[in-house]
Amino acid sequence: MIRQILSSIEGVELYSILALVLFLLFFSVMLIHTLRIPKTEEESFSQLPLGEDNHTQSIPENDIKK
Amino acid sequence: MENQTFYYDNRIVKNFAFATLFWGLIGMLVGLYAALQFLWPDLSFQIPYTTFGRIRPIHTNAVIFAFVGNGIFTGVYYSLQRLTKARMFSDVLSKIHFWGWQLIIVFAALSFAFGITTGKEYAELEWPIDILVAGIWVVFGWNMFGTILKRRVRHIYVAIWFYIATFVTVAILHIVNSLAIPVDLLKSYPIYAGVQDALVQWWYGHNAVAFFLTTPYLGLMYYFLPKAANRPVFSYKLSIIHFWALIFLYIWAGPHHLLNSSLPDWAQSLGTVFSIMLIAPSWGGMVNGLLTLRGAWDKVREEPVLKFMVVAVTAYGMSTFEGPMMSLKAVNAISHFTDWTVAHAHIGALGWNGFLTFGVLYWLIPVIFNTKLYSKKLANAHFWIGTLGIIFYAVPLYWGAVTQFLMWKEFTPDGILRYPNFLETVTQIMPMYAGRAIGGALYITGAILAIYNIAKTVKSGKLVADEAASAPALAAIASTRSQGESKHRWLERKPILFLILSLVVILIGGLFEIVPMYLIKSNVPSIASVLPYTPLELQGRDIYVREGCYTCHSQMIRPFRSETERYGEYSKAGEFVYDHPFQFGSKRNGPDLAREGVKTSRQYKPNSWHYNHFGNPQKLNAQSIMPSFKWLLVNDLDISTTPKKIRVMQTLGVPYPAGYDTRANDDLMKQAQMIADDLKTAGINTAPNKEVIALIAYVQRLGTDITKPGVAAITPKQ
Repeated sequence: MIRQILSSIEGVELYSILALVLFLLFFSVMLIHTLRIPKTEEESFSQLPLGEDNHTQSIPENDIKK
Repeated sequence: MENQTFYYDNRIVKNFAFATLFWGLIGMLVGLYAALQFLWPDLSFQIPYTTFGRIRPIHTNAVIFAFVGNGIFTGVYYSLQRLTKARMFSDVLSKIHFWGWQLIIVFAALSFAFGITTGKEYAELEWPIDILVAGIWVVFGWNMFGTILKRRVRHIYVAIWFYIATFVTVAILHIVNSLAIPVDLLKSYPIYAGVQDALVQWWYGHNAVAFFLTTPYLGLMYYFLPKAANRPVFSYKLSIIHFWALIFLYIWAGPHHLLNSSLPDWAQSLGTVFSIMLIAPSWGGMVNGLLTLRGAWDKVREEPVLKFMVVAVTAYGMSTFEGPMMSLKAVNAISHFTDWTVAHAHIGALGWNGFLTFGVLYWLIPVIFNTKLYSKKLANAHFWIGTLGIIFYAVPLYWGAVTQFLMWKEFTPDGILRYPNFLETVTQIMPMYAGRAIGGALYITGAILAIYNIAKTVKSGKLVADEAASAPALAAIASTRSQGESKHRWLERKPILFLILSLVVILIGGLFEIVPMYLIKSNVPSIASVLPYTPLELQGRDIYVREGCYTCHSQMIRPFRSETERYGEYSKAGEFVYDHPFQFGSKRNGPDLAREGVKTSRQYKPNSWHYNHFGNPQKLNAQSIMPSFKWLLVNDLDISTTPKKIRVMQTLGVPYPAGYDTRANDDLMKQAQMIADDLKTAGINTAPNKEVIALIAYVQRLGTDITKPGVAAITPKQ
């Protein structure tokens, strides 16, 4: 069924245009949504890798499993 | 909620880190060895295992899957545990993943040295190893998702998004591109043929760059750069746009590896358009990385870790600008088949992947060994030597590429090629190959300094194999969006949904490109005179694949006057319908061979020339850089595989007559005897059962089909 439909498509070069439109739609929705994200969410997110532990270069002795 | 105490597994991080350094050094040394063979072809020692065609895949696979692969796992196993505040899901799975991956690397290196290869770039592994790769990849994904699901942090950070996309996309790419029918344990034929095989291969190949060399490393950048700079990531919103736009667009761009080829125009245009658009998200990521250092640039002066990371991200920016430019047909005409592509790939590999890896290791090893880096001075020396190495590597190759391209294109006022002998264009750029080898040697010197520095660091500390941490368990909350929670924020606490959405996004591109390519008949117009290979030619073709001839010779004449003048009629999609696998190649260290067998072509050589040339290329062309393949003159052709090969080809739709497998070897011997007799008239006495006879049969067949006068049709492939 799918084979029959696709093998009869004329002007397959339109695929590029269709793909472009699809991306622009996807991108527009994503962009609008992202721009509306509140600033508070942004700040807590950005801190994620920094807040996970206390050390940067060395581990306190009592944090080591004996 | 009460705090729970748990322990991060640093032993697995250490194992992957050491493997990264070990395989990195091996991969780079093999690369240098390959580079030196351009200058001294005899460095192959005239034995099969060390010829360029076999060691080039060892180099590329070692760097991509062993060095960068282990680098990915080092960073993922370290950062994932911290970002989820959980130990890895299963220590057993971690161990299986680690040892399984190292086993794959050893199998890969051995199989390539022994000529066991599918002949598809960066996917050369034969089917049993492919299955092992799939299994180990599932173990990695299982362990990763198990960890994510038992996390103590509600939202998954952007680094984890990239890890998820990497996992799911690499799985799809690997499976789809590796589909093949085995002939025996060590040999298979891909289910795709010709331009369709090429499209699937470069859909895979390009996205191996995208989802193995890029997305996991972007994840590492988003984690380790803020850690090293002690600054939050510049923009959360930019990271959302960066992530989704990047994974959506990347998957479409594969056809830019086949521009000006016989791939249908619509597919080429699709590749170009999406490649150009890729600049935006790629640079969004680069900007997000570099701006994370805002207000901390003074630290870059002091900290070698940050120096490595800054150059890495800058190299990423350069590569991702250059890549789209190379996707323009006019620019691609220069870059494709020349050393431009090699230089481009190494800006990415040495700059982006290499330097980010070293930056991460310099930061991470002292942490897990609870000590300080042995010598910042040595790390700084490594940084400068490595940076010079990248420049010395790339600049000569860019220079050489443009020089060679201009020589290929130059015509005399009378309208004939100024440099009709391909070898002249190679000889001209030999100093550039010497420069490249010097650059590579410098980079390796830096890597050796890193290994010494890290070994001393390890010695001065003690591995904190199980590092204590504590965090409260996650409280159960409604799975629906809470008030004021944005959709994306909600999605970040739904890792399975995140995985599914990532899958959908990458599948859209794949389906749009690959499905129509298969189902629309007009994509590959059939040519009645194109017939299946004879049994001897088929065996010869397998030798061509085994010896990695495609690493130096293309089989794709582009529709440029300079190419049709030099090689003959440009290549047509319908000529490759029985090519399992396709052998278009991607680099011309020697001339194109697509019309090698056409007697009226400028390139045509008699059987005796090929015989002598395979045995000792320098005897015929003193300046040739082709290695000797003298074992082909001695080895007997294994014809026991012929019936099975014919049957597999029939299964794949190649129209050999029914029952042909039983008499294929009779035809094979007849054709071999004819070639041996012809060689005898030229004074060469050889038995017809030698491998070289089969290879001569194959190269003399190349490109001849369309020159035959209206051959009665074998039914063309439907």
